[in-house]
Amino acid sequence: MKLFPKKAPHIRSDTSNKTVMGDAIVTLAALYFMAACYYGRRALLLGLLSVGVCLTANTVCVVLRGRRINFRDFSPIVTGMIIPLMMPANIPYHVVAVAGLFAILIVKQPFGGVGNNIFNPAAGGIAFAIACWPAQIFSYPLPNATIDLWGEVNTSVSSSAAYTLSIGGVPSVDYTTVLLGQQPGPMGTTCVLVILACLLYLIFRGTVRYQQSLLFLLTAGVLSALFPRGSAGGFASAFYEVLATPVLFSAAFLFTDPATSPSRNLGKGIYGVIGGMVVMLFAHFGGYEQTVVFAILLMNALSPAIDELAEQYITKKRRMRYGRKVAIDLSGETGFDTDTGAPAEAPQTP
Amino acid sequence: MSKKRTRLWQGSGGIMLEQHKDPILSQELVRFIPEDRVRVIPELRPWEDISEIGPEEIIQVARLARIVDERDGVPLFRKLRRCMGRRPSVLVDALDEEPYISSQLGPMIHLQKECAGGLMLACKAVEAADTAILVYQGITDLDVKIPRAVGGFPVQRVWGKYPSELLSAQSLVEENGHISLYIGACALIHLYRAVYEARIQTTAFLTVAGNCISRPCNMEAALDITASEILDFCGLEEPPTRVVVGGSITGESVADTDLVAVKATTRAILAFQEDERDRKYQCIGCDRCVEACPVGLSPMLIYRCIAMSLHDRLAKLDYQMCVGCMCCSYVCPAKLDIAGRIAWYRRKQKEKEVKRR
Repeated sequence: MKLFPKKAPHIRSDTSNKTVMGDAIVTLAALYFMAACYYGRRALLLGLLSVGVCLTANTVCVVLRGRRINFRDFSPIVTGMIIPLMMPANIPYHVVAVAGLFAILIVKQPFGGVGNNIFNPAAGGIAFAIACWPAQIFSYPLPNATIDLWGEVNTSVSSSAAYTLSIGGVPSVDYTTVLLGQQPGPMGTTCVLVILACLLYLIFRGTVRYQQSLLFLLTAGVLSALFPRGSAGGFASAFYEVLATPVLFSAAFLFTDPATSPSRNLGKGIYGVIGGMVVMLFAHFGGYEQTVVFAILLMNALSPAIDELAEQYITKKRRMRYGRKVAIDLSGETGFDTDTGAPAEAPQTP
Repeated sequence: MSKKRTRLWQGSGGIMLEQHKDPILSQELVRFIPEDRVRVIPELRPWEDISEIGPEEIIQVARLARIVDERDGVPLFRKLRRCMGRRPSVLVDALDEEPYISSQLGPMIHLQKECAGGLMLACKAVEAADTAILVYQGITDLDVKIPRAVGGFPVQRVWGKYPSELLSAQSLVEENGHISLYIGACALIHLYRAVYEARIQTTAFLTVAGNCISRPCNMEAALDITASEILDFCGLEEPPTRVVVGGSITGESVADTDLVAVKATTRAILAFQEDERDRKYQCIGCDRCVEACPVGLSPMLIYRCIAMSLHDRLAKLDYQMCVGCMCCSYVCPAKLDIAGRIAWYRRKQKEKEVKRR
């Protein structure tokens, strides 16, 4: 039987880029479901528009770079789904479209596309939109409000808990409201319990490493408890800073982007701790009420340096560990006829 | 037996694999030994009792019976002679940690008397300090029960993930002045037969499996039988796209099954029918390969540096420590040939070094 020889390994795991991105899409879809419950069909339409823009821009760039289009690459869908979730449901469509275009055309593709980007594309797109349209991005409709699908959106708007914290106040919403997400805020970042469930799902699927996201949240929580911005006490400050602002959402979907994180678990841990510190520094000294995306972009820039340090440390440890056992070389011990020492004839039988 | 040995290697990393060993392991061994393939060496005479045979005689019998250890391809008598009088720990390799394969574990379970008898002879030959039969603990989907002891020798479940066996591939290891000698379970069966039945090794134990084999089994096949004959013997449900000789992960894909013959070290012949479509993606930096690497390398980084020809950087990444276990390629969600690329680069660098000399 003639066959074409294949490369080893001859069996492979079922996980593929498609399933990794699929995990993120499934969890983001759950957040869209919650957003649709609170803000109606406009939330879904924003998501569809953003995904459409990101997919189109990505495809155009791939064609321009002379590469083959890979229809199984779901990464632009993930980027497209994340962007509107960090914005209010009444955001004009053009803001979402521009953010999506910026994410793909400026942040992702010039660096070589999926896996090669230095900065998280979604965080870049959102940061660009915040810098261009802060007024629209920081005015949030109330949950369960009716929001028009088209034209000028007429709905009562309110400020989010992040704004109250930024001016040194204590958010008036109680803990249960925060956990259920019935507070004004970016349309996908308020449903705390759902996001926590999504984060756990991603950790158990191996898509997100717990060292990074949990240490990030823990550091941010501890620092906000130790150095509260307003008059809120330690626990209340930590609770509102981590759960009532987009910090939790970012820990699940933006900060843990594999392409922009260190590769070693040690590096991830350090990255998480420093990330938590940077987020709280931005919260204290940043200019906007929502600064987590800027902190993440800064951390993305630090990621290669942290990775390099972790790599050096692990290399040193590895060299120490594998120096102890000595294997006795048997490579020359082949054949039966060049025996030394004992006679070659058969032993005497009993 | 020290507790330390319940792990074959102390590093992290590795992967848990679904073993797919049953129902093959539960079934009796199939024999495929055509009459004309059996060879006998007349100068061998059977012994009746272990007390009558001395260490040097055991080693000579192993030599005349031409027993090759399936674990490493080294003649058994050479391994035994190396350890004579050094009181080593004799460890029997019945690990079979690669999925589908149970060509050591199967004979160990179904031919317990011969395996234990062979081990007793090996222990006598080298004056072993202690001994154990090593079985991989990661096998959970078994119908057959693995015994706690075989002929009075303890069966030790070795904790660890794939590739524990590959990492302990050195058959003779010296640690703190103490020697550990690893011998394959099948080589011991052949030793038993050589001493008590005066039989030369003319067969090998192998697993025939894969998704297009009609009657998958563990078999004892005559040496020099071709892969085609074995596949015909076991039957094919559909034409395979890939026939592998060796392990399901590290084995070699063959181009012509008529030209591949069973050797003493052949552990398996696997035939797979698979989706031929190209499923390659770009690396997304998911770090699964870094997590899986048993020697703590960063395959992802090495792969990227090879692609960019960063030779200085590669020297710092210890790419030469790669053991070729293929864990990185197995787990890679982008389906990249990471291990293959690293092996290619190692070969290229070695060639360069040889030329320089």
